[in-house]
Parts: sequence; structure tokens; C-alpha cells
Amino acid sequence: MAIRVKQKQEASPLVIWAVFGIMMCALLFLGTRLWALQVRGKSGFDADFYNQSVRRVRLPAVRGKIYDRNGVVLADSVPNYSIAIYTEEMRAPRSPLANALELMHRIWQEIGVRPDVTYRDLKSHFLLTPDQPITVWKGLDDETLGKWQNIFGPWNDKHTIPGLLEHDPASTNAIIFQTKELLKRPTSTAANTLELVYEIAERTGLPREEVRYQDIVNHIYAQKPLPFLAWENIDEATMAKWADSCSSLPGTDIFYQPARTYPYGETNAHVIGFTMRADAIGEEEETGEKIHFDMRGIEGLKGLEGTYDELLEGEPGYKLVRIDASGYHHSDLQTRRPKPGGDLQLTIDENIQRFAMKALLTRQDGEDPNAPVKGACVIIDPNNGDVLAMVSAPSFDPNAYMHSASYQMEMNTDPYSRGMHRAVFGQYPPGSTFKPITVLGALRENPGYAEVTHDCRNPYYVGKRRMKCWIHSQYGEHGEVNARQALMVSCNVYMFELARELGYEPIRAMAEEFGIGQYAGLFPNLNDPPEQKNLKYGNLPEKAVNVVDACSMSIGQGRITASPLQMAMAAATIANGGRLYRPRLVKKWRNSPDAHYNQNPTWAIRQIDVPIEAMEVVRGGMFDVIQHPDGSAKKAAVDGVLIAGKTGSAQYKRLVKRVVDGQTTNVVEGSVHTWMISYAPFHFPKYAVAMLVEDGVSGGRSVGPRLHDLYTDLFHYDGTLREDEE
Amino acid sequence: MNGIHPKRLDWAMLSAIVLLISMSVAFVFSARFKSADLYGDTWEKQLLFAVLGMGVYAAIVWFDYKVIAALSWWIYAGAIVLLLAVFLFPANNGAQRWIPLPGFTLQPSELAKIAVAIKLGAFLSAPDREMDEWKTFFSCAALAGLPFILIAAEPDLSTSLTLAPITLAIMLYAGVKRKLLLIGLAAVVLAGTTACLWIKYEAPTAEQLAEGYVPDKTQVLPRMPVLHDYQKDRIRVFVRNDHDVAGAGWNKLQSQIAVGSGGLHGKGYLKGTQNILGFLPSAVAQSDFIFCVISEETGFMGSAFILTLYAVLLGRCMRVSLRSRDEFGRLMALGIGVMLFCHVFVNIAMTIGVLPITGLPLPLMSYGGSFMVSTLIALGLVQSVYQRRRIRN
Repeated sequence: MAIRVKQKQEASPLVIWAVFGIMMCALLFLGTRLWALQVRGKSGFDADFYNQSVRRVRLPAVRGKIYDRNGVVLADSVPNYSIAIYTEEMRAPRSPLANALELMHRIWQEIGVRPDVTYRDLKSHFLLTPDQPITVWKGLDDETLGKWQNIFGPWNDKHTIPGLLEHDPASTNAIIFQTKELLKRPTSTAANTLELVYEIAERTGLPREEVRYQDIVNHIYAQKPLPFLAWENIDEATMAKWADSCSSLPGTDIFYQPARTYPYGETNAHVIGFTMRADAIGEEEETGEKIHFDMRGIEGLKGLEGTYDELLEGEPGYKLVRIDASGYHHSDLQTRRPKPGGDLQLTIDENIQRFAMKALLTRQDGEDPNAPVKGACVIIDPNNGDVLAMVSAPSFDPNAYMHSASYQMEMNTDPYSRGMHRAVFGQYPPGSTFKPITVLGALRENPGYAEVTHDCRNPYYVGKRRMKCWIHSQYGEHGEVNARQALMVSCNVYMFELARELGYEPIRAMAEEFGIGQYAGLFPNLNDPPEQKNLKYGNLPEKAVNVVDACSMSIGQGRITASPLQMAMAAATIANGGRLYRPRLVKKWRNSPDAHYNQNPTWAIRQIDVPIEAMEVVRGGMFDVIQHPDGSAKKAAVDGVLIAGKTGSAQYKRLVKRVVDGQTTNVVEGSVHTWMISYAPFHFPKYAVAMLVEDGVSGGRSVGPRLHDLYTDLFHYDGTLREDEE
Repeated sequence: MNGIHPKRLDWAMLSAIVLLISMSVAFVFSARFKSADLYGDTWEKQLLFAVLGMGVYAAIVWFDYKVIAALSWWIYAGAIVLLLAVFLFPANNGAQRWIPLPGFTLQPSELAKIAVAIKLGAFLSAPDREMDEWKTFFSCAALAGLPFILIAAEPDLSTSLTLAPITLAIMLYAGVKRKLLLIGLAAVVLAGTTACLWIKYEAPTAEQLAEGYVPDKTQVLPRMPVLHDYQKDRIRVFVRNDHDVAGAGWNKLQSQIAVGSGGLHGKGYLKGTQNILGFLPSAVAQSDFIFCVISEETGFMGSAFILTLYAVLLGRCMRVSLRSRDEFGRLMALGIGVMLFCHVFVNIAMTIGVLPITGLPLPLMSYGGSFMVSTLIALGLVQSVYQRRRIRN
């Protein structure tokens, strides 16, 4: 026996050594695997780890400002304060009240009927009688009860909802919560957030209805690492209240986002444009890196905000956020701060802008008192093409547009198209304001034409067609007039005769040199914003179809159209003796608030090739229009300053809705676009103005008095006139 | 002879134990300090049980293990009673593995493994045992088989499976039907490989298809019998790399990411982001996945250090087995060494994706009072054997 045991002992160490060997091999194997994972494969796992736990959040930059020529802020960036709730802090279980609120909101969402208990009722119920059920809806009508039955199934069968008391709805018409059951259930993050919303609303008096339960649920579903913005756009009083009563509540804080404000609102609405919340983007443009969350910034949509969006918006920043396994925010890793956007300084003078708006909006005799004034006014410095003012009416409030959806709706369906920038994109027949160009064209063709006279007689026929001078409808005639006189009295017949004698071509050539029918070049040489190709910039026909066509185009009617801006350029060109400047709207710009300004150069498009004598004839005619006792726009005159100008009234047909015998019908009605182009002071022009009023009476009567107001304000403003001189 | 002789103690093994336990307390703290509100301060409990365990360890070293050989039937019977007692208590997560006691819960299967090693050692070292008899073979099989069945019925298949290598090693050493055992071992390895491959290429069930599972072109074999679906899933996660990453494969992926992103030096103590952010399953990060926490925070250097400590510990166990003065000590030390090795290997291998995820904890490191104490009891027995070793001349 003992011997056998010994024999076994002889053999046995082999097994132990073998086991030991297997163990060491196995541990060595684990060691090599660890080396492969941790040292050689590290980068792969780092990437995996990064992908699952790090999120990129795009942060919008502060948008640059827009100043007027004197440094007055026209578009400003201000913080938009919100009350934020950090949902990651809402995960710890809270009071069962949250359960009751959540259940209430889920049912509310389905049946669409307001519950009959308030937050305060529920709160006190849970405080005082937590073992009693509470009736949340009572006296429900049959329709609601039907909805309720459809969604949740009959009350007493197995489709019970936790926390709901089982009872027959038909007998009580009520929905009753089983409070005891709600007490036992753990609260969800959404429910906790909802309770906090109620608590904040209760303490600050903010409207709870603005925060929907579904928004909370959606936020937790899609945007967990970001704070939930419960109330946006809160004012300072609310913020103070919040700080007083809620800052001690865990999980809530004040959060701000950049927003835009326009201190001068309506006056500049069309020039400056407005901004809206930008679309969220999912990928960085240059690097193609994924952006998981986009704290959406604002984006310029119209006017300069739209055209120079890239300059103004700056460069967005990025924040790397670490999230935990359930997707909530854990910590901020690193932040690349956004670079604030660049600024624009305009050639616009806010004061002149306001004078222009005021003058334009002053209603004159004979205008429809029920419709808003529709029109535009552009003021250009004839010495360099600077746009001093550019207004359109009716205008809108960009601040209201950005914040109110109903205002947006109202504007989009507005019959007077208040969103339209009439000064630039409006296209109107220039009417008699075109006559100086016609005369200049004739005088270049035939310098002696200044002294040629034509007889304005009534009736006047072109071929078999009778054509009228405006004075004919007042049973008058202009008699024999020369070019200067024709301009003064705005005689049509003179222009007809001229067109018949010299043809349409000299008129067209001159108009083309004045820039009619071409892109005015409002935004030159600044990061080259693309021309808006789908828009037309007036119209200048290549050829006249026949003599009648040529005649009507010679007085700025027919197919010729121009914008107020183009007519202002024409006025400025006549004022400075023939140099057509590109209108300059942006004076200086910089790429960031701490950079130097870059000058936007003044730029003359061309010197119009016309003899000085011809120019003097036209300028004299325009002088007479206002300063001569027989001039068509005497009302525009201002004591102490010599002003030149030209009126215009372009007839057109329009569709008007009229209520006849209780029925709305469309009626075609003749109406008049009334114009004036003007410049002053006559000898050393500082301002060239084009003003248009839709549906006016006539150039002289509708626009003349407005120009008078405008010039009075202008010359008081620049010191040419003093108060005591009046 | 009872008593402790410091000069005869295996200090290398003892140092490895103390180092491992200290690291355990430190990293259980690290695994839990972020979620301490939810679970309480587990590291203090771990420290308490470590101290308690060292007390038990000292007591067992003091005892002459011959007494234990004499008591082996009682110990074995006690273990079986405890394993049966488990079924008196309500199930937790669908399993009845624990006996709730005041202050801690006892997991009898841990003690049962030691009891099996003791009983088999005592049984086979009896001087009149005939090794080549079938009777001996079947007695051994029965001694190991009863606790195996009881533990497997809890159900805790992975723990019961560790009984197999223990029994195998002891029987091989003792020389019970060695050829048969080796052939059997080969058969099991073959069967295991076949099962894994079968599961890999098994066609999905109708249920899986209904849930929108898109099978590979290679998954064409008919369903394999015997194993449950949840057990198959673990193996499937292991054999099919991208299997169900959001569900069954999630823990494997996350523990691999944790270990892998540790790199050479690790992220620093208390800075293991995989753990802090909750990607490691927070309920078991401090127990089954403690190695992840360590290797994420200390990198390859730390995990290699732990491996070295285990190598020292296991090597020393084998040394004790070789130096034992009698057959019982030899068999017991061998069995305990193999048991510890199974735990160490399976636990670490699963965290790095080499083996399927199982619930085997890491000896001396994982959080768990009764496991810490039972491991120290086992190691105390080994030290006790070593103290009373044969002195070479």
C-alpha cells in the first residue's frame, strides 16, 4: 500500500508542473492580449470612446453691428435671456407631484381639455391628503369621454393606466387620479422637469402654457446634453423675479443667446433687413466634422443683413461636451470661442433717413386717406454717389417680425406689400422725370436743338392716333416752347415732336448711359456679394416698335421702367454735370470688432459724353420747374435755397377691389405714380433726390410739398438754413 | 501542530495578497465614488471584509490543516446544506444564489468550491484508496457532481463549471483513471469548440427575425439543442464580433473600450471616464468589471502589475503543492490554485473580450464580502500547508 502511494508521488510532480505551466502560459497570453488592446490598439479604442462620449456643439458668434455714417447703431446685437433647465440635474427622483403632473399632461394632450385643478390644488392635495384620490377632470362632455375611451380603452378592463383610479367614466364624467399609486412610482426626468417648470411659473408668474410637455419630452429625446430653454426672450423684471425666487432651485439658470435689435425699426427696415433663427447644420463646412448639436444662431435674410450675412455673422465656435452613458451632459471638455462678426458703417445718415420717411409719409391733398402711403425716397450725394437715405413705404417693424409669427403672417398677406423694398426693387414708368434724359439725348445728337421750338396744340395726332399733353385735359395748350421751357412746363408734345424728328435711338443711348435698365451696383466691391440675378433692374427697350411707341417712351411711359434709386442716380448725374457714380451704401467695413475699417471706394461708372451747353439747358429747365413762377413744382421751393427738379406722373391701370351692392368685384381703374427728381442747392449740389408716391395726384401736387418738407429739414440739419431765417 | 511560525511563512505570497487587497479597496472606491449616493460607500465595506478576511486567514494559518482533513466530511456536508438552503430564499434577478444574512449576503457556492477541493483531497489522500478502481472514479465524480448540480440549478452555470477543472486537476494528479480523464478532456474541448462553431453559424429564431435581426449569409445551421437562448447569446457575442452591440454585446464592447482606452499609462486614478460616465455597467463595475476600472485608470502598466501579482500568487500555490509534507495538503493546494486560476483567467479574459461575459469575480479584487473572505480562507489553507511543509535537506 505504502509503496503504491510512493509510486504515485514519483509521478505526480509532473501534473503540478503541467498545471503551473498552463497557468503561466494563460497569464502570458492575457498579458499579450492586454498589450495588443492597450498599447497597440489604443487609438482605435480612444476613437470609440471619443465617439460615444463626446459631442460637438456649435456656438453662434455675436453678430456684427451696422452703423450709420455718424456712428449711430442701426442694427445691434443684444443678449436674449432665457430661463434654462439643465435636464441632467432632473434625473434624481423628486416628489410624486411630478408623476401627477406628467399623467395630467399626457391625458390633456390626448383629450385636449383643460384640467379642472391647478398646480396649487395638486400641490396642497399631496401635502394634506396624499391617501385620497383626486378628481382632475370633472363634468366632461360625451365627445371628450368618447375620445378618452377610444385612446385608453374602457375604464375598467385591463387597459388601466398606473395612477388612474378605476371607475366608470360615464357615471361620474370625471377622470380621477389614484394618488396612492402615484406616490409609489419613481418619477421620470421629463416629469421632474415639468414639475420644475410649474414651480418656476408659480414663483415668477411666467405663463406656464408657453412650455409644452411635449417640448420637454422632445428635448430629452433629441437634445439631452443641451439645456432646455423653457422661457425665451424674458425681460429684466422677470429676470429679477427669477433671481429673487428661483435661483436657489437646483437645475435652473439664466441662459442667453445672441439676438438682434433694430433701434430705428421701421425707418430702416428695407435697407437693413432682418434676421431669423438659422437652420441647424449637421456638419462643419470646411472640415466635414460632424456637429451633433447646433445652438442655432441667427441668419440675415433681407437687405444688408442678408447681403452681408457672411461678414456679419462671424465665425461660430465649438464646444466639446462629454456625455454620460445615458446621453446627458456630464462636463464641458473644451471650448473654441466664436469670433464675433464684422461691422458695417453705412453712408446712410439716420437723421436724413428719418426726414425722408417723415416727408414721404406726410399725406397730401387728394390722396386716399384709407390706404397707407406707398412710395419711396432715395437721397444721394451727387459729388460721390453716397446714399444718404433710402426709404420705402409702407414699412414694417423688423423687431416685431422677428419675434411674432402672427406679424409675419400678416405681413406676408399684406395687400400693400410692405415687405417690398420699393426704392431698389420697385419698377415704375419714370414718366416726365425721364424728359431731361430725352432732351439730353436730343441735344447730343443735334447741339442746336435747344433753340428749336415746337407748338403744343390740342388736338395733336401722331398718324391717326391722338396723343395728349397733360395740359390738354385741362383744356389748355403750351403754345410754342423750346427745350428749356418744355422741361419747365413738362410739355409732352415737344417730346413727341423731338422723338419723331430724331428717332428713339438718341434717347435710348442717353438713357443707357444714365444706367436705366441696368443693375445699379448698390453693393460693389465688398466680398463681392453676388448680384441678384433673378431680379430685374428696370427696363430699357432696344427699339421702338413704331412712332407712337417712340413718342410714349420719350415721355417715360410705355415699356420704360426704372427704380427710384436709378432715378436718384440720374438726378445726381445731372446735378454734378454728367458723372454717373455707383451708389455707395456701405462706407466702411471691418472683419471683426477689433480690426481696422476698410474703406469702400467711391466709384464713378462713367462720365456721360454730353456738351456742357446741353447740360446747362437741362439744368436750367429743371431750375425753372421749381423756381420759375410757371414751374410745375413751385410747391417744392424752399426760401433761401435754390432747388432744381422735375416732376413726373405716370399713368397706369390697376385692379381695385370695390364693394358694389354688397358684392366684391375687381374694377380696372386708372391711377398715377407721381414722381419727382430733384437736386439742391442748385449751384453746389449736395443732395440729389428721387421721390415716388404711388397713386398720387400729380408730381407737383403730391411730391412737391413733400420735397419742400424734406429740403426744409435737410437744410436746417446741415446748417444751410437757420431757424431765425424763417 | 497549531501555531504560526513567521520564519516558515511564504512572505512572497502574503505580500501579493496584501497588495492585491489594498488595490482592491482603492479601486472599489474609484469604481463607486461617482455613484456613491446611489449605492452607499462600498469601499468601506470592502475594507471591513478585507480586515475580517485577514483575521480568518491568520486563524486558518494558525490551525494545523490535518484537523481540516479530519473534518472534511462535516465541511462538505455543511457546504451542501448551505447550497440547499439557498432555495429557501426568494429569487433575485431570477436566480437563487444568495443567503441574506444581517450585514451581508452569503454566496454558498464560493464556499462549496473550497469544500470540494478539501473533500476530494481528503478522499484521495486516504492511504487505502485504490486509484485505478472505477469505484474511486465514480466516488470522485459524485463528490464533485452533487455541488455541481446544486449550483447549476441556482442557476449559476459558470461557477459550477469551475468545479470541473478543480476536480480534473486533483484527479489527474492523484492518478484516478488518468487516460480516461485525458480522453474526456479532449472530448470536452472538442465538444466546446463544436458548440461555439455551431452557435456561430446557427440560424436565427423566428422571434429574432421578428425583432428585426438581420442574419449573416453564413448563419444557416439548424438550432442547437441543450443550451438556453440567453446562454447562447453570451457565446454568440463572443464568437460573432459585432453581435447585438446595443444589447447583449454592449458590456463586452464597453469593457473592451475601457481597457483599450487606458493605453500604456492609464487615465489616472479616479479619472476612468468609461466608468464615471456610466458606460461600464454601474451595478457591477466594482465587482465583475473591477479589472476594467483598474486597467482604464492605470493602463497596461497597472494591469500587467496585477497579472504579475496573480502569477506570483498562483506560482506560490503550485510551489506549496510541490512542497507539501503530505498528499492531502498537496491535493488541496493544487485544487485551490486551480480554482483561483479559473477565476482570474475567466474574469480578465472576459473583460478583454477573449471569453464570453460571465459572472465570475476576480479573487481578492472584486467587491463582495463573502467572496473576499472565502478566497482568504482558501489562501489561508494554502499558507497553512506551506507552514507545515517538508523541510528540504
